[in-house]
Amino acid sequence: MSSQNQESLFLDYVRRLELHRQGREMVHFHLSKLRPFNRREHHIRVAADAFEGMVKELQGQIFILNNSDIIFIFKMEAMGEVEQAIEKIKFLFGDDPLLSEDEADGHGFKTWFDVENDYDQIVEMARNLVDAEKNLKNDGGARDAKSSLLARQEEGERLTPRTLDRLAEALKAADLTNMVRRQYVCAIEGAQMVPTPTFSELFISISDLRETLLPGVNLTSSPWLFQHLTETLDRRVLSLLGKTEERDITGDISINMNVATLLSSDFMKFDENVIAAMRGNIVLELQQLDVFGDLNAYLFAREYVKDRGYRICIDGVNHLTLPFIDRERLEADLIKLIWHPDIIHGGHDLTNKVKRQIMLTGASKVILSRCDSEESIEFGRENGIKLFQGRHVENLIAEENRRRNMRMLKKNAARHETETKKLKSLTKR
Amino acid sequence: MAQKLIDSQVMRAIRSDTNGSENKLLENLQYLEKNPVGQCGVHIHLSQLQRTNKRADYIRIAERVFDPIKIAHNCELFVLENFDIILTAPSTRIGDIDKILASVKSLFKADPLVERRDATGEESFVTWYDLEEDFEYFKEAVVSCALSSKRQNLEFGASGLEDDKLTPKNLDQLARVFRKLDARPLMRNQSAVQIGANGQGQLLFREFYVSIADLRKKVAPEIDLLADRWLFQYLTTILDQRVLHMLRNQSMDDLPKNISLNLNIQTISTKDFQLFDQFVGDQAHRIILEFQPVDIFSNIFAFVEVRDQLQSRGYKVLVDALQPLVLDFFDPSMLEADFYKIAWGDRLGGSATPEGQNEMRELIHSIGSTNVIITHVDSEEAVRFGLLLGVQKFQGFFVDRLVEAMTTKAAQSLKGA
Repeated sequence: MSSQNQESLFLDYVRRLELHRQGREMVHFHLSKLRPFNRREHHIRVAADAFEGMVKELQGQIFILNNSDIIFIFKMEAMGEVEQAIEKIKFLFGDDPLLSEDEADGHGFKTWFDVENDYDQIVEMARNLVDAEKNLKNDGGARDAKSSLLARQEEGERLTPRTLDRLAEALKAADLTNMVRRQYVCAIEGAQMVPTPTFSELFISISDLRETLLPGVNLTSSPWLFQHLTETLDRRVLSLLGKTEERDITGDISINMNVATLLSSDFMKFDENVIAAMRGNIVLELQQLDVFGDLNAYLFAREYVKDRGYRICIDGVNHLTLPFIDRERLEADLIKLIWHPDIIHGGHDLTNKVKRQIMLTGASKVILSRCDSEESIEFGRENGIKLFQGRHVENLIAEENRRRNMRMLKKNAARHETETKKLKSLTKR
Repeated sequence: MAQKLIDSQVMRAIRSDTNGSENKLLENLQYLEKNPVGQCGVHIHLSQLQRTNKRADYIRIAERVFDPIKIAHNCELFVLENFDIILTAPSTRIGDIDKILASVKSLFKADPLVERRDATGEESFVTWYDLEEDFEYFKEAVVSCALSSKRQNLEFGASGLEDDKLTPKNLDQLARVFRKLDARPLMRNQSAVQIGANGQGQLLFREFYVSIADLRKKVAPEIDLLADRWLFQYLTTILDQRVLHMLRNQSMDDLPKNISLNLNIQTISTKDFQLFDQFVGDQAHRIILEFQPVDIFSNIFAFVEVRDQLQSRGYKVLVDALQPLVLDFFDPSMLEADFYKIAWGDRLGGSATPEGQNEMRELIHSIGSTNVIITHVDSEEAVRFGLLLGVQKFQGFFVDRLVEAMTTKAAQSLKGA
């Protein structure tokens, strides 16, 4: 299911700006008016990249609308950088007639808004965009041929048994070591939001896999073929881990596994080779669908692996399935709840329901995952959640590393200074 | 070829399979008969597990729990083809064996066998023998177990072991065949009935489904279609299309008053369903659509959307194949479907304790007893038990017989009139 689209994210964001309008500007780039050849997906992506630095620095927020228009809302301090970005984009589309029109009336290419003064106008615009987007979806009917063709183009070619077979063959020969990614699960403490890694999830990046082995194929188009693929990947991960030396894996780790894999001889082999002491450092992440697909098999596998010393985390839980996950009865050590803006913007009832369920699950046993915004972490912390994972957590880690480096630099500089002072005082004497 | 074999025939078969566990067990027995001093025998009755738990992968894992003692001196372990495990060891190892048995029990703790006791209060899970004292009993038990294990194997055959597994490669070919399949000759239907307080049955609906066994015979006799559950699920998405296609090539008037169909959630957003929906027109209330829990939990957002869309069109939505075990973990009525099918199994069976029954009655009541259908009903006892729990809707082989009787009766009374 598609996550929230950019139009509604834009509307959400604008609504939340209500109390923070001051000192912000918005610029709307009408890239939809470019000639079709000039507004291919990669054009728009390159244009959006011009703002990436500011987004990362939390100076501004970018929205790429379905019609290719780009909206950027930013703090006044960043005006200089924004102007540079605009120059870059103008250069990028310099060949398009739209930019000469821009010179003529100054309005064809971009529109400026002052968030404080033009707030109502912006809200209205966002609302219209959301409505228009909805109508577009409904107009086309559920699946007329054209829209499904378009959708397929956008989503990539469907995964078929034939492509799955090709992939399975390619996987046999492929070196997956460089596709293994690591994302940290962190405790986040204090007003400074200092992240402390508690364990890291090791996984094979599906997008890298797709780019390398089957470009253009949408691997998740059939849930069942995808699920089959994950079982193949499970076995590869087990053999990769089996080969790595203990020192290569630092700290506690988690890996994604299917229940069927845990019951297979591949896992048995892995378990025989892994050092007994290490089992306690490994968290096995099982998908909720796999738990409910065959509860009986889950219960058996759970007894088996917990007895061997592994910990279990139920992965892929979302705000709608949370009420179905009785963590205690399932005897899972942890559950991973996927963050979704609806949790706080989807109405009071939903918010309260989620809060209640977190209490029932045990907030300290919940990992809030896919945290891509500050509000996700705020919500989690307000409700007693200790562990977080996601893009925003990665940003916090980067930030913390920068801070640490700065402190080190300052310390070194200070030491250098006192030493030179000492030297000076020595020479004076 | 389920002919009855006499013991001597079975014994010959055991002896001829020299490397089989049954033969090795009997050879070991001969040795122990001469050297029983200080030895004990343990018989773990895994053949009596529920069908869902009698799986080769489970037994392999259970066998592994014995590893520490297997390598010890004078210990022998035999895993028979019916999954019973027999261990002989020096009596000094009783403590170790007890520990191992506790682990094996915890593996199967969802199975009623673990807690069950026979009439004399003995554990049903395991039997201990002191070979010095009880050798004759042990011998009798072991021989009859070996015989029944082998007999079962001979009479029903090792199921599916020689069949090709379903793989992406053969799935590709199969999918092509499936897309052109005429589903009509493979369609079966099974009735669900409502049973009133007076014991009178009333037809609720007929479930239309494709017979997988017949399908296999027709398109892929050498392939075990169920060997890989995800690839099989993928095949069902193609079957969905064929079934919908077949149905809309006849008239709604030719169909029974109420029918149910098994579909994938994804199918609802395909053109095939759109066309079917047009065909159904204002008759949607006659149709129940059944979805699998695994499908629902694979994308609950999609389910919620599809459920609302279908219900507002007038269709009824049914959650299929809930294991009774599920009720210990969540309340299915949170899925806001119209019906829930719970498969009849040991946990619903007469063996459940009075407290268990009360708990189950409460659970069913909270789901809404009128929304629950008990399936796989194979005996009158199952129906009686269901009624006791407050359930009135049933489906299964026993119900088929009931329906048959109902129709003959109706036909007779028509004749009489």
